[in-house]
Amino acid sequence: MPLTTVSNGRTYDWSYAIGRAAATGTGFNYPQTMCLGNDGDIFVANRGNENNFGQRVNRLKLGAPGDEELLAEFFTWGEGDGKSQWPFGVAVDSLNNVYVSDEWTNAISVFHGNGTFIRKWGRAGSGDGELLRPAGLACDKDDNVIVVDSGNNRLQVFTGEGKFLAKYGKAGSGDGEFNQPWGITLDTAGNIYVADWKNHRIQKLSSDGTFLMKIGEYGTVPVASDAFAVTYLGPHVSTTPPAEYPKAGLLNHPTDVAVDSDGDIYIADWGNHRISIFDARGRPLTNLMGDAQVMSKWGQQSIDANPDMMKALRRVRNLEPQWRFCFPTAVDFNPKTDEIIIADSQRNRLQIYRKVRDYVDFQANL
Amino acid sequence: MATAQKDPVLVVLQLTGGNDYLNTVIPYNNPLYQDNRKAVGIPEGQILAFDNEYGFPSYLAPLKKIWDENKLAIMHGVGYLDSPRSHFRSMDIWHTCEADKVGTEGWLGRVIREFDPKKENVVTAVSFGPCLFRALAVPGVPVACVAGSLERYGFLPNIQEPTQRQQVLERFSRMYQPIEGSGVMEYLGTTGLDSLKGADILKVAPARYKSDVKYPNTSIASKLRGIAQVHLAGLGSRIFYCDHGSFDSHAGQNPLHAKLWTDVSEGLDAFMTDLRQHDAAENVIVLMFSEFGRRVRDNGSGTDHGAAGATFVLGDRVKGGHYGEYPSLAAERLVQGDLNPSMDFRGIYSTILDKWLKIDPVAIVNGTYEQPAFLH
Amino acid sequence: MANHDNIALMAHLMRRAGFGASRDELEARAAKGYEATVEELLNPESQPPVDPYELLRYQPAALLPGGQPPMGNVNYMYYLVTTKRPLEEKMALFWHHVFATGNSKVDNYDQLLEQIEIFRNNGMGNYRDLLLKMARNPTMIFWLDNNQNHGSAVNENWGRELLELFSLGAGNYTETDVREASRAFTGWTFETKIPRLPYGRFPWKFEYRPEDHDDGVKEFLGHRGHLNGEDIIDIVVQQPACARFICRHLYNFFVADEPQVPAWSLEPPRDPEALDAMAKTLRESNYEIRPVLRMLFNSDFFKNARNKHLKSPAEVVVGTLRLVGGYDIPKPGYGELSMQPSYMGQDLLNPPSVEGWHTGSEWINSGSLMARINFVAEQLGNQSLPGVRAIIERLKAKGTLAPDQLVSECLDLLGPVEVRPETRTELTDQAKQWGQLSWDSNPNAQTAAKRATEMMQLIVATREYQFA
Repeated sequence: MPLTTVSNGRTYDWSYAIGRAAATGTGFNYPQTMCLGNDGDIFVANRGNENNFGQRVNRLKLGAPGDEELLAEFFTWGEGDGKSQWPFGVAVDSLNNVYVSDEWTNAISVFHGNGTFIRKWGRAGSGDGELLRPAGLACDKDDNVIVVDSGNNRLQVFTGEGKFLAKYGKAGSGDGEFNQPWGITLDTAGNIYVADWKNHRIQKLSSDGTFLMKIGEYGTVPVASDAFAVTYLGPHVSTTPPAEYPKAGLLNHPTDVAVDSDGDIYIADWGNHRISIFDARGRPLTNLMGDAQVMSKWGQQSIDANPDMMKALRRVRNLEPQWRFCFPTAVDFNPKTDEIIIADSQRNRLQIYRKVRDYVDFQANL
Repeated sequence: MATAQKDPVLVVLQLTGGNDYLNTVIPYNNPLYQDNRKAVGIPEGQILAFDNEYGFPSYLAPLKKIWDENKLAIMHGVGYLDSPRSHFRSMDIWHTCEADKVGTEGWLGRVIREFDPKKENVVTAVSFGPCLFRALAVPGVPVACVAGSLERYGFLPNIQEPTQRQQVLERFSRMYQPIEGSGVMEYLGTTGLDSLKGADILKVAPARYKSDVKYPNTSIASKLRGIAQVHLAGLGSRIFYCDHGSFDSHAGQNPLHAKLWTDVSEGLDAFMTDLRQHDAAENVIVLMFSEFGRRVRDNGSGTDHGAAGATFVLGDRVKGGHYGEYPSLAAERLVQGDLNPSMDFRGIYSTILDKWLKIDPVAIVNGTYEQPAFLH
Repeated sequence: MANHDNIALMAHLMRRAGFGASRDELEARAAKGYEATVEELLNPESQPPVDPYELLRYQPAALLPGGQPPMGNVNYMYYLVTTKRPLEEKMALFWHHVFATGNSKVDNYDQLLEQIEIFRNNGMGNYRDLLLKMARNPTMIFWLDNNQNHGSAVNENWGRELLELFSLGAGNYTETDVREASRAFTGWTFETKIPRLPYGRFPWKFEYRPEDHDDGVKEFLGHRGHLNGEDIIDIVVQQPACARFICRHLYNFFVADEPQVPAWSLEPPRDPEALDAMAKTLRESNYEIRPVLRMLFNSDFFKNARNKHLKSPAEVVVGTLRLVGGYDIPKPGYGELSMQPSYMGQDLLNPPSVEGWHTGSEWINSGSLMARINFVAEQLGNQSLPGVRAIIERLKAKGTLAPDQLVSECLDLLGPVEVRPETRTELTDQAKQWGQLSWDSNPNAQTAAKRATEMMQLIVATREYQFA
């Protein structure tokens, strides 16, 4: 299977995967969102589960494939300052302070980059400055924090200390209205992109909250008749292509969005188990499906310690389900490295692609 | 009831989740231990050696004390053939003694039925946990399950005002009076009254209990304290069951393992001290087991599901020491990367049944197994 | 306003064909009519399905929960508590009782949830098709060792249980039939799945291996030929015993408690005429389940079977959670809630054996009785839950309550619950201790609400309340 995706003059190379299923330590537990810090480290928020285990933010050092290192873990499960129930969004400001949302306690917690708790703010409600299931977070150029206030179907802007500044949007399906919005990102000009989850679209707003455009319409990817569901909710994999060609621009419960330095837009098309790429004007370009054909470093450690797993792997007829995304919840773009980083949530890993700029069209006769 | 007090009593402490044998009874001088445990190996400075081969990690210090008193038996390489490495299946095998099919009767449930076939004492077995452990479950055999604290055990714990509570429970008792020949309603009546009686009986335990021993503030210590309270109240209870966990240390093993074993060993230390101070330790042994051991080689952060493990029995009547053989760590002797079991767990049960509880073990454990001689 | 009898009958239907309903819902349904409600229950497509995305939005760990509780239980409980298609979900539970498959061996809640999903989607459809789906279901294949049933070495586990527990019942086939049926299913297995380390669980996929199939001549229940598994199922459903067996299961689950399955070949059914009529309907509809259910719910034997069924732990927990409300998204603590049926003796997704749970009075022992009463009492004692507040509001609307009124109103709103005169006397005597309850001042209203929840706790502790 090819590890390079070429489409519309763009090229994306699958690079590597980081992680494995782990409730603590080197790995993830349902990674939800992530954010790059100022020094190139990445902060990943893990949802955990009802054993109250696994909830945390991991700080990882990134480098070449295999260079990843776990630097810190914080916002683990518990009650009180610095502890979490339902961690979700993560954002980093210019001072490398880390903001994390908790969808259960309706609070935003603030940490130093090393994981030391600083403060928290927010309370449950629907008034100005009150939150209901705060989800995605983004820091703007003035270090204000934009919170996707998903239960109230709006965005709210706060100072880093939690002072309410502004709110945008209301419940609905019209322009500038939201239905359980989820992830958020800003482009270099400060425009706001929001994954409008239950409206199955991305909305782009100006930095003052004015509606600019929307991308996507509801649809599911057609499934081949002999397809094999990796879970009962997909993804479906098959050796034969589906009879029907997938219509471009479909989204099924999109959860997050990223914008690259060329203005291309990456959407975590969660329910369709893919990353959909659109150009700056919202025209569909291509999709990334997940290509983790090479085991992650930490994953390989698990395999090495478990000879029966290794034996079973060798007997598997089709490993494709293991490569593919399964409910990818978040996507980020690293402008310094041209890397596209995807939280492959149900597979407890990050998959990393690189947008290639020096690509020469392939030589037919190597 | 005072005579029942000196009958032999068994306390089972289940280490749920698969305790890592290699990091509990550490073969610290074996180079293969260091080779396989690059991430989670315990450094020599943190080992309490028994001899020049084995030792406990320092967080088992209270248990080491019991070892030094010669009252802790360590059974090595415990397991059974074709270990399935699944928590559920393995736990089921330990609970039902059925390795080849899904069993329906718990081994201790059978013991309770032998002790009290007419169900005369509804607190013959007391379990500290929210559910009936499968080891105790045999249809029709009563077991008192204390989900929260012993003080709050009983019907309708939400109604707390003392006079209200007393009135409501009296109503309950009258509403459950037998209705002759009414089949299911009569059965419900008897069961309800049995259950009320069990709660009434157990209620006296905390009230009668006086002790200077301070238990740590952990869930396992409060369960052990509850066991001590019931045992000391002399209610004729013979089997106690409790668990602690989860020992399923796939990731971040070292701090997790240390915390769990600190809880267990400090709790046991307080428990044994408490019983001894009340002169009530002589007739109690504690069986401590886990459903499997863990992989020999670590995964960079923890260890995954394995096969053979260690089982412990402790008490004043226990002959301390090593029993059986530590399985070889040599690569060619491992089975799927696991220690190969050298002792069948049903042999340990058999010793307890035969030599302690004085019950024919064959029908309980479904066969005849070699009995390690860890009792005086 | 519907009259009391209509409400009581509707409450009976909803307890059996679903998991109970709030008083508002009962009134709305009674206004619509009994038969119309039966039709709506039988045709759930008119109501939206449970949205699995909403569950995964908040609890992603519920999708591939692996072998350890409680996330698999959370997933199942979420469907049970939030479904707007109660009979569809009740039928899924019914088939889970019949095709009992357990995590104790499967060690993978993902696979068990997939099985429940099959029951949900096909539970009111054709029984023969469902049986074939089970024969091809990898979870069932693993549970009953059909992956070890080889052309050269027959394993009879699936073949036997197919006949004994899933279709005919003991006494309706011979040992030779077991052997021959097992031969016909050789080669029905699954592909090696991707191992769970390091990224989490992957599912099994059914696989037929022709080289491992015994294609020889078989003789099964009077039929002879190169029979394969599908042929066996077709022959099985031609047996009159099959329709009776499935209908006795339906009768036990929906109408009134029967003895346990192993006794069915020895003890006659409780209502032979009802069973005959049900079996006739099932055969005449070519094993479509829906027509039997329609006939059952509209029959007099069903309508007259009020309180002849001891609630299963699943019915106790789900019915209570639906009544008290506040569990429409899986909040923290849902894991513990979803384990409650297991504390009462019904570990969902993990029945004790392939025989399933023993039902009726066997649900009750001294531990499980206390667990069920305390659970229901705790929920009804929690005035912060919307359903409890709704009951208190209705009581408040009645104005000042004399002791016997308090008892009557509480019994009515919790069911209606029918109690023996002796029980009623005890309840009334307790209410007399409290005197007349009034709502005219804040402190009085608080006391009245507290007493009302205490009365409800005493009612759910009665023997009568354990029946549906």
